[in-house]
Amino acid sequence: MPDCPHSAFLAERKALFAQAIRILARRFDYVSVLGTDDAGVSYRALRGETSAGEPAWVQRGFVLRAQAGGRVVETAFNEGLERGPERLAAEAGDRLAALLAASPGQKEYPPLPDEPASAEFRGVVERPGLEADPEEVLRRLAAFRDALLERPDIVAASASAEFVRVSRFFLSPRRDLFQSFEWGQAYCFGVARRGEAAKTSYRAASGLAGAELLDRIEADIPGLAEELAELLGAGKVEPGEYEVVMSPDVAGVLAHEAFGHGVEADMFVKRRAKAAEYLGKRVASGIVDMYDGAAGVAQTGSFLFDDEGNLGTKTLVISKGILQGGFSDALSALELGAAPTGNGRRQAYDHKAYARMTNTYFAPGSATKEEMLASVKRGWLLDRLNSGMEDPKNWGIQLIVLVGREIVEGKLTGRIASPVFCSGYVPEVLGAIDMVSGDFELTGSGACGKGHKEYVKVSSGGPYVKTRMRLG
Amino acid sequence: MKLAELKEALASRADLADWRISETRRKGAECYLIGDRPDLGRSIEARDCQVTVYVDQGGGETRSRGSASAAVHPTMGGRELAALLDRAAFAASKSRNPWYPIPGPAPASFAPPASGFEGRAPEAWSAELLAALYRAEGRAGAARVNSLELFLTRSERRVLNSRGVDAAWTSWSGTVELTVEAEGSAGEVELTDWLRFSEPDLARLEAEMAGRLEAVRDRAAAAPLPALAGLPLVLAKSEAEAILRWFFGNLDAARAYSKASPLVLGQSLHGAEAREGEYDRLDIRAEPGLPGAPASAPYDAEGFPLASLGCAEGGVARAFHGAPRYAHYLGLPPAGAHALFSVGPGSIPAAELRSAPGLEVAYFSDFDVDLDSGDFGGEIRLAYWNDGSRRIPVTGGSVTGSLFENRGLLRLSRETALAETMRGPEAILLPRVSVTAAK
Repeated sequence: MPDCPHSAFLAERKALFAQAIRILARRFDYVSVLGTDDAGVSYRALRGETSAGEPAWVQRGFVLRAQAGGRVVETAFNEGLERGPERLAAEAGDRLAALLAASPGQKEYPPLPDEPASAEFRGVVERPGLEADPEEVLRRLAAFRDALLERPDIVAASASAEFVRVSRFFLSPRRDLFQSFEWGQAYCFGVARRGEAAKTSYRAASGLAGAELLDRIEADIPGLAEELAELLGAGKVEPGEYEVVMSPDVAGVLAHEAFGHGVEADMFVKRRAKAAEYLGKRVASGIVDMYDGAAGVAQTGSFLFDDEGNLGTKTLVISKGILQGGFSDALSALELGAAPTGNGRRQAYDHKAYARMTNTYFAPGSATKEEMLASVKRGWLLDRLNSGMEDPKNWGIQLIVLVGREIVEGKLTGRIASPVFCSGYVPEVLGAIDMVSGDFELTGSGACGKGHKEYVKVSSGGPYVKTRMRLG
Repeated sequence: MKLAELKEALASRADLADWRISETRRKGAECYLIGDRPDLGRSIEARDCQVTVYVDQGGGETRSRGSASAAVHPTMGGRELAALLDRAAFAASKSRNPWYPIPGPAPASFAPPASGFEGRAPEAWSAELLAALYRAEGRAGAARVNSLELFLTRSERRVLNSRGVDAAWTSWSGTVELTVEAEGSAGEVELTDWLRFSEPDLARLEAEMAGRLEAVRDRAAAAPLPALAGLPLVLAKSEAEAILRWFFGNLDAARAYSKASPLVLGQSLHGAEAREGEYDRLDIRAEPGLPGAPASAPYDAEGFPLASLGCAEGGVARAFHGAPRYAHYLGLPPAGAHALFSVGPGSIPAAELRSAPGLEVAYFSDFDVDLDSGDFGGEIRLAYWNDGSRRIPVTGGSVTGSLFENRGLLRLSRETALAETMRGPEAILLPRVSVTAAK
């Protein structure tokens, strides 16, 4: 399997930016540049049509960061390189200086660190998606779609795949980092309708992977078709609190929403994180360990260095139910006097860096899924996450899942509910976790927003988890 | 890569039946504040360009068309562009869809008035906008702004295609994402929200912020949502828009073509079982522009000129909006892909909708309306429970429902207001919902 190539465009401009950085370093206390050239392809098959394009993640541009007198400013751009390093440095330097001049009352941070670092990473995938034959990918996606549409109650279906080759460099006077790797995701989605009853479900595959993801999706199509047919008979959950067994993707989003967003260090700086009052205290049951990190696992939230030039790490967020700490971008780390964890991420070169999650997950335990189901007196098995939302200050949580299966006296009754809205108070939900399975599965087919914007690729998951939540 | 060079490169290729270029030049200013203190200054200047190529195959009855899109970065050179177009043309040749035309040149039927922001650079507006946003804080008692992000962007859009379309327009887009907080008996509480605007309407910004500060004060005083059954749900603003967007979204020709939409032209939006007098009939128009809405535009993304279009009248589906390609497939006149819509007023004053016992949810964690299933719901951050005599702030718990169960009972307020992409009823009422208590 060949190493993922670096962007030739970026490789050719590195020297130009290195020189521009040297010039700008004479004008500012700190200066750095992130260069991005993320390429990608996307394919989709809807009813009666197929098409090819590029995912929204494709970007090519630069963001220069400078610090003077403690104040930090940035300028993002994607052209004007042909005029050479002196002009580039002069024009960008003027824009940065104008920003500093326009905001005299701006917050002053301690000096941004610039310890020496030089590293390179080139990822490896089995079948690079950017080199896959478009005809073959489209043919297979159309076949997945058609397999669903053959079923009488499935009125709409789609199949899609996208592959992104991330290529980024980070340069400062003392740092020289370059990384290139590929991630991919594939989806199959169906709508079943009978009379006025309409239900949806999906299958997804993702990872630091290429066209091999299509094989994984293909194997899931019959299960999706069966599930859609079942969902047409779905009812509602009677509102109330229940024992719930969460699939790894639902449990992972519980981790993500409950104590992922809640320990983003910029939330501590803004005094928006209730978690600040609970550092070193119990926030979950004693069998709960939770991690976030770009390092340590290989999924769509993995990388060598973040968008501020800090190397990715692995953070133990909760250990045996005790809150250990959070993860940071460069500025919140400075403000809190902590070492950066390499979680400073941007939606794209023209977006601000925030403290963001990467791969967030519960550590596996020792139970089996079967033991967990058998232990439930009256509750629900929750699967197929639709969405989740955090509330870092007040610790509410919302999860929407598409498939709930009733459990009574340890057995699945065959009754199904869709959708299921799950809510609760985070410490109560995590405190009620009494079983964790030995499984470990990460899902990286979604994206994470900060509030209602700033999307980045993340993954989440881990084992099956049993707890209690309010359902409706 | 200049636009003229790109146009020339596309026009010189014999393998392309058609092509389209969409270019956006953006200049933006951003302010990030913690409390009322600037935290970080940023500026953006960028040019984004997207090219779509169309490849035809066969003829007569079997004539097919495939398309592929790709970003053309301004820093691309000639050789890189040629390779990109080769890849796109090859990918397009592997899609064989029923043939469809792309839009030809046509005059705009809607001309958005120039934004009041025009004439000054985005960064020159920051101080005035921030002053307006923070003005209400002084009157808000214990409520305050925790943090705020302000984005103001001027965009020059241009769409060209091989059939002679050359449409250009300018738009301004302002976004504020804000978090407000207040002290309650159980500690501090917060609300996070956003607002979007296209005009320097300082009074509106001040009023919007004042409303959010008042809401967070109410959340600080809110009681846990009790078990409630049989109460109707009242929604306003973006949540009312999300409910009404289910109808607008399902009046899209693309969803009709893919059979994902349950709505059929000539049939009632309210379902066959709806009984006269029990609901307000929906009048829905696709709109090219709404005053104050950043998405106002004279053309859609393909360069098709947009006009106001009656999609539903008297509660009956009359026309589909959407990309011209799907109108062609359905044998309907093309209407263009509108981002904005309006909904006509209902029969009942908003105050009357709110006066009966019910639950009005002002803020959800994340209100979700599924376009396919019609299921809706969300966790409640702030709601007002009218118990028949008092309007009590409540928090926690959740509410769920189905549009199929509510569309024949939907009530709309007589007053209308601008939401994010809709001008429509200021409040709506959905009688059949399920409420899960906070405890």
